[in-house]
Amino acid sequence: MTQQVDEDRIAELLLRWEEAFDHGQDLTTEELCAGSPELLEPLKQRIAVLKQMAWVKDDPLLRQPPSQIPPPKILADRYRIEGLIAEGGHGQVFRAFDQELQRPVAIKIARRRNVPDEELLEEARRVARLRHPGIVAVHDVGRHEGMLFVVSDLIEGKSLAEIERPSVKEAVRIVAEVADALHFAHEQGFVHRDIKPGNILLDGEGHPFVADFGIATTTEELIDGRSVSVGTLPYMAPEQVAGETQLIDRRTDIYALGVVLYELLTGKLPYQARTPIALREQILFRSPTRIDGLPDSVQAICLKCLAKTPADRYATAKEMAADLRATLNTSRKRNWLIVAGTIMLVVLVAFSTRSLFQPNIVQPGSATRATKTSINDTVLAADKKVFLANRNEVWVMDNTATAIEYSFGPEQWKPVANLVKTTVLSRGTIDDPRIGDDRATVYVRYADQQGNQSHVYKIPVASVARYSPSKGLGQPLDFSRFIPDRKPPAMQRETSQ
Amino acid sequence: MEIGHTTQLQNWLSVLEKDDVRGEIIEHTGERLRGLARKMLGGFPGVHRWEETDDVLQNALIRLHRSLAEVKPQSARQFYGLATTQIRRELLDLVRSRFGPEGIGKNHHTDGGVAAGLATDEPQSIEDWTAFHEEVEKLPENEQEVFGLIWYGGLHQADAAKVLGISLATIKRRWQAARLHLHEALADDPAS
Repeated sequence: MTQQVDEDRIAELLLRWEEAFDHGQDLTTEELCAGSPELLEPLKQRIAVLKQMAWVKDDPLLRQPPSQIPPPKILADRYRIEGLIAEGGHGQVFRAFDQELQRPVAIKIARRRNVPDEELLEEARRVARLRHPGIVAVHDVGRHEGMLFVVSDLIEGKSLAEIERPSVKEAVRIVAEVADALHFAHEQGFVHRDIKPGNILLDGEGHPFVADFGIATTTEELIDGRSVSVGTLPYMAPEQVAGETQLIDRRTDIYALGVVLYELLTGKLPYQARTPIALREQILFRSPTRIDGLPDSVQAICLKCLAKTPADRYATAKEMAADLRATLNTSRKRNWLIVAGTIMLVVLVAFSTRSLFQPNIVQPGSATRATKTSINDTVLAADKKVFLANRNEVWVMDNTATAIEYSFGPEQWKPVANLVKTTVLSRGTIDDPRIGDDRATVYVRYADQQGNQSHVYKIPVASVARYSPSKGLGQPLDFSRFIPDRKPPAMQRETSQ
Repeated sequence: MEIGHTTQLQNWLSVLEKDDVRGEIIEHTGERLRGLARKMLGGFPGVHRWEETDDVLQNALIRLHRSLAEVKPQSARQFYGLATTQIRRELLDLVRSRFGPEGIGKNHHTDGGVAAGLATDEPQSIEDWTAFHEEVEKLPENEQEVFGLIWYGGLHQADAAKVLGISLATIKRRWQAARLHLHEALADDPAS
């Protein structure tokens, strides 16, 4: 009985310790066991165990709710905290007053990350070297209760996420200025990776400042593989969504800025989806909806930024800024022809809309049509997903999660590239909504007469989509180009189920 | 813009009352499985690239799909119980099939020297991960359920309390007890 009572008390004390520990306070066992010295040793042992098991809680996949860290009154004996400005996944931002230099500042207290403090400090120091009129300047970095804090300019104003939708001209001007600032950062070796309206602040005169380089990374880190793919999903480029960090570079920021431009121009995101998975799939495979009533030149810039393949985007933010400003200059020159210009633009938009959508129209006799004549129409209705191809079968899974297998008959010992081409591809094209799952993968297998697996070539659909130039969307793809020109290795029987 | 987990939970629960949620289960379990497998396999030589992890996962996803296809959960508890059990089993299977005696990772060097110097119980080798998942299965039922919801299912403690219909304090206690038991079991396990 006494033992059970002790166990209960130890459990209570452990909970108390852990709650304090989660808030950055490591209570001593002496404090906790005041008056109960007999609990000291078992408690100490269990605290040591929980510390060893802390990795279970550090799992970045577990979405922790924002921590309610009480703001300190004075930070580093210098900064007087005046209030919370914002809180997000990367930390809390406070309005504060620098008592030494007698000026208002913004202080960001970073959420604990799974990297050593020294690396965080080094990152902050690098950011502090970024000096540009369009980038929020960092003045100081330090630690508070083990957490890094960054002191920067306080921009009195709103973020782009908080303003009313601007005019086309105003949106173009803002985004061009942001592109200038980004180009400067890119030239210094930085990639922001989380460009979004919330990270672009407008001062009282309407000048934009890029903020929150907190997760920005240098190109060296990307090359070393020390950086992971982070960002805010609706603004993430396909290469970020696919986790292909080796492809992340300045053009990833240009993509995100394209999303910001799109949103400023339309008040909507280019892709809308009910779930994050569906959104990822759209980012990877869908074309953005065209914007009605927008000058072609601005529309072209926006769509160029949103290209799936980095090579199809602007190579630099400077080029993007130049093109944006050219549209402003052009509009000035043509002021005297406003009415005529408007009419022309309407015609152009209508024409270009038609021509752009042309490749997506299913033509009689096309691959999709052929599919419907050869495969059960019920299975291939628009809401079905081609999930993957397996051995000589293609699995089609519908929304009610029923797996349906299609066998294509006993195949001879031969590469099945043609088989894939005539089965998977005959079902549609790479942007066919039926190939709609971000996990979709085409497997090309070499098989013997008994159907035993010998070797598998995996072709991620995402890679195919990016490999294919955007003009190829809507066209059948030749998968055989992705299959190495060599014979399969010695046969092995499939061991898994 | 990312949908908050609590919101998602509420959405699922409302769907659960009136509709078939198998698609939601598959979506949720697939995402968690991918994420955890990526974390688990990412540290092994030869499986650094996500595409390779994805490759490993494809068959696991098919099995997951099969096993959940006929299921119609009647409660949130059953919903999460199914999902987290499947995730745990698939992760265990992934390690066994991929890195067992005939798997491609069979020659992976278990770096016991490095692991021994770490002040953490985080699995450092294939054997460690196998033992970890197996020991979770042996936890007392109530602790296993809580551990499953939080670690495999990715739920916040408050959400786990709602799903199980118990107090937050109880969740915290079971979550803590599960970690203590796991440590004890893994320390006793010759594989670790």
